[in-house]
Amino acid sequence: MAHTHSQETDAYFVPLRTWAAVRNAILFVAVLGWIGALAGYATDPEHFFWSYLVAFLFSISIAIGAAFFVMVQHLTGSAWSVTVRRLMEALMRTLPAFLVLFAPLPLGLHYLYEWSRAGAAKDPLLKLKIGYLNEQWFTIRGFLVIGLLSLWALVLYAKSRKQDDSGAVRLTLSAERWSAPGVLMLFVGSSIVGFDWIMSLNPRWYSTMFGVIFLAGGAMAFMAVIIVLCLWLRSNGYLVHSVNTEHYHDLGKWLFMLMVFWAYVSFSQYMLIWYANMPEETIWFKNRFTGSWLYVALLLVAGHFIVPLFAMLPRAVKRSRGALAFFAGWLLLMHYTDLYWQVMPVFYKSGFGMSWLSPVCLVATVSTMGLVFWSSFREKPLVPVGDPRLKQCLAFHNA
Amino acid sequence: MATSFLDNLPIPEFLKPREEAPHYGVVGDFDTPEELLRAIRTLRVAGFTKMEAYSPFPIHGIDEALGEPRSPLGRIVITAAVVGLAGAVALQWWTGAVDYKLNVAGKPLFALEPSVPIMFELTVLLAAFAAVLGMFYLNRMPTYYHAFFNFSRAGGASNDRFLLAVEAADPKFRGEELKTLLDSLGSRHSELVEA
Amino acid sequence: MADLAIDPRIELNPTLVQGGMTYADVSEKISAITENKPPKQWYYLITISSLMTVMLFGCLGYLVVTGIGVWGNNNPVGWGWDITNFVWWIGIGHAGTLISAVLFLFRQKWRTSINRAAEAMTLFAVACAAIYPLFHTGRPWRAIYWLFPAPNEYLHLWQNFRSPLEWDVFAVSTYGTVSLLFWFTGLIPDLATLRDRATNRVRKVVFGILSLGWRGSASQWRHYELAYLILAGISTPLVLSVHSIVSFDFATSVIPGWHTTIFPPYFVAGAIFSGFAMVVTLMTVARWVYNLQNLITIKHLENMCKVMLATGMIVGFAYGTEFFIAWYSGNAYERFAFLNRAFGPYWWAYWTMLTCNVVSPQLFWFKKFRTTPALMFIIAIFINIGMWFERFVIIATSLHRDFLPASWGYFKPTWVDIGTFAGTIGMFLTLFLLFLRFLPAIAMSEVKGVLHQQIEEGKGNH
Repeated sequence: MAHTHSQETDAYFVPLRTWAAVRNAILFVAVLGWIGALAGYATDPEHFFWSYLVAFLFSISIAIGAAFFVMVQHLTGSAWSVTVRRLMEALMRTLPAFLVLFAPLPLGLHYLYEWSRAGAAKDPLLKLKIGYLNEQWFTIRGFLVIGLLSLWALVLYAKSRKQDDSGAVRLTLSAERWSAPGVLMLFVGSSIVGFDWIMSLNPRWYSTMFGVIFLAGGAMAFMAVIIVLCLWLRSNGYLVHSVNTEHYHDLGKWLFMLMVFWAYVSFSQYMLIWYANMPEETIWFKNRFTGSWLYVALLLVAGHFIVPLFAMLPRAVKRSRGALAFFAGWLLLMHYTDLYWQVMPVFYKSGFGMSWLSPVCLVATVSTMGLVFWSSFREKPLVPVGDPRLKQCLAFHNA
Repeated sequence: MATSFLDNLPIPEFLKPREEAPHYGVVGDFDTPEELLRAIRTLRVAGFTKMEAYSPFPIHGIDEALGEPRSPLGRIVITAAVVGLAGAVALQWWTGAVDYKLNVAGKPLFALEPSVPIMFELTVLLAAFAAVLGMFYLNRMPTYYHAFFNFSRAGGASNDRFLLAVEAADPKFRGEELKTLLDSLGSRHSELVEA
Repeated sequence: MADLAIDPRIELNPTLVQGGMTYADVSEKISAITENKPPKQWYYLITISSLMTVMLFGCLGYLVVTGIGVWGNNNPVGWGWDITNFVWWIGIGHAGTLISAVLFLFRQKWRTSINRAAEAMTLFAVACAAIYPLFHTGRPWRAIYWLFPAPNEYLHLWQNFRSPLEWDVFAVSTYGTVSLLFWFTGLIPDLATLRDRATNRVRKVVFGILSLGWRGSASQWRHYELAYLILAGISTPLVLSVHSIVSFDFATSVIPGWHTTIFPPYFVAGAIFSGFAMVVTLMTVARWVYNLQNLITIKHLENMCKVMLATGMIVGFAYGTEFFIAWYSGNAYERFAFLNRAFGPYWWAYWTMLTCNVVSPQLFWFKKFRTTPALMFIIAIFINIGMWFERFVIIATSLHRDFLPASWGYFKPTWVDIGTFAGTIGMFLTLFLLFLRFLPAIAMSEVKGVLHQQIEEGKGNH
């Protein structure tokens, strides 16, 4: 390079005291969250399970998005993302925690899913699906998919950590080999859980696109989380040089692209159903346009697509840390709204409604995820220091 | 030059015969992009402002070296895209819901859902035309004659040479003397090029 | 920990321009193809392909004179080979845009030596595709009034913009236009190279006019690079939209097997899949005929094989999802449509499709198949066939079983169908061969840019 960058180096390790302070803060929030959630479960199980489902979906979609993105980075051999990859991997590593977080759901199936209730066996349409939509298989599929995702997450994370010490190129290539079948497993798995967890809330309704939309939303939310995390670490003096404006520009472009992709698949599903206008399909949207739910839908159109589309288009916005932080936070909120709008109209049939348990459950699941995430950085580097492409990434410059 | 008779006449500025610069400038011929960039930086420090580089592929960092701002093409394209989007809405609404109302399968005469594909396509179409035609306009293309082509090795710029022209319009332009300066910066062949 | 030692044989950033080529060698090697007489094989190939093109014109002429009835389309299969071929050709075109635009945005440098030819392929594929809807109108010379909102003698008579077929008109014509603009923009610096190298008057004048006075000055490159970036930026959603809109032709209907929401991304993945197969088919041959092994390296071909493997899996995933949801829906028509696909009268087409599209790319898991041009050529041909059958299966199997069993039927192509399809292949090859002969088939200025980066990284050829 003709440029003479004064390559200042960052501290890649969080001091143990700071680390423990942050861990304690998250732990405190998590304990409060779970106390609240348990109190909700004891007093009002129905609201608890509905709120918990949305909170669970929000958290796991981000972890799945992380796994997807890490594997894609390995497959494309990308250099620009190396300095943020450890944060991605740490998010991906939260997947095993969802084996525990998933456990409450099978207990509340009767509150949530019509097909699990007594009448289903007599329903002419639902009885055709009983071989798939039943409590045993729902539980087995859930644990199986999360288990497989966790396996890949742990293997890829272990390889990356091993490389911190050895710097072996072979580990990069091995991660690439694991990622190819991994992406396939992730596609199939997240489709299945998308069908199971959300689509089957309306057990008569079906859409082949549904799993893709679930994955797209999660990938976008994951990108927003990464941006927020990088900026949070930066404001505390970490990753100041290793994640510079050029990297934020690229992260911003990814956030933008994934947001547009979500809009593309969501619109395709909506438009095709609107156009064919068949009652058994349009009912899904009709329920979600009932009463004040319509305003939530319109908020999604504006806030999850149109406004960020125009606002995030200029180069300057993606290169400004303040603007990027705002849109990342905003799109996370929109992702939660999206899931809420997909799930809750089944429960609040006449219009928008929300229980105090929704934010409480969200705090509980997200802080649990946060604890696992943060545990990856106890005396361990914030950046994959042994990655052979690290140097290339530090010198990276946008065209 | 002595004050000419014409200068005293009340004729508009643009009609006055201009003093034709007899030369385009001095052009040097470098082996590598790095040598070219080094030469540009040295000359910029020395106070030269009107320079132009020629290369077979875009060189990273040359705009900063030459002090060129970012291209304004982005704004042209955005404008065209918005026109395309608005035009598509207008076209579909006016033809479908105003000028030629035809009930097809009970669908609304105009609705956003089925209008989105054409809205998107026309936005892209106009944006693409704006990008290419805007680039032509900014680059003054096609321009089939340019003084640079008088350089005996102008063809090198489309093959494997990296050329640097110090234009005659530069206030510090000193004709033949510059050739030695360019040679000293690593130019393999420097030449005073006719306008 | 011996196994963790760095293995020097493993290259993370493979050298994309090989054989110690210099900038001048790049110009020389690529320009020479257009300046010298082509090899003998070129004449053989173009003779055959021109004859096929003549056959295409013959078939189209016969159709115009006689009527659409000369094709096998009839109730209940009102769309037959025409739409199958249309979608197939459009899909093939998509790889060109993907390579030139999407890979550009993702900074995949390996695209540089194949993007020019792939873009040319896009244009020719779109031209072939456009023939089918145009001639399906029966009177193509009047089609402008039917397809585009052109002023006509019936005042206040306009197209039905709510019809997906009309969206198709806009999508395909925009796609063709933008691809042409993108391709020509990319060509300008290389046309200037040809102009500067020209030794005879005709070449000097022709390339002089075409290169628009390009000088390669820094101020020109500045606008040029941004224009190229913007074109890449808008071509990326464009390529997604085109095949999505093509899929809307089917998916907006209420026909079981057509009306399924996953169609848009699934069609896009299929398009990329078939397009890459066609690029590999053509490039393995061109590389061999013109000795371009140092520019189109095994690494380039291997990457394309990986893309085929990935997109082949996505297509397989979509097949699976469709089948699963057809069962899950509990809808008798949906279930019948898919069972009928696999075990009905068109079972042979379905299993051909599945074998070619899902089974054959699995061979790309083996490095041997990803690095041997002859083997990948064979698999690519299989994928081309499989993707043709995919469209045929979707179209014919969904239509031949009407809701009313009395109107059930079976589609058989006529000789005109076959002649027209073979003819478009001939036209495609003819145009591609002419392109190879007269225009730089590899983007010289871009390859030089990649070469420069290699030199910076210390893998220099100087």
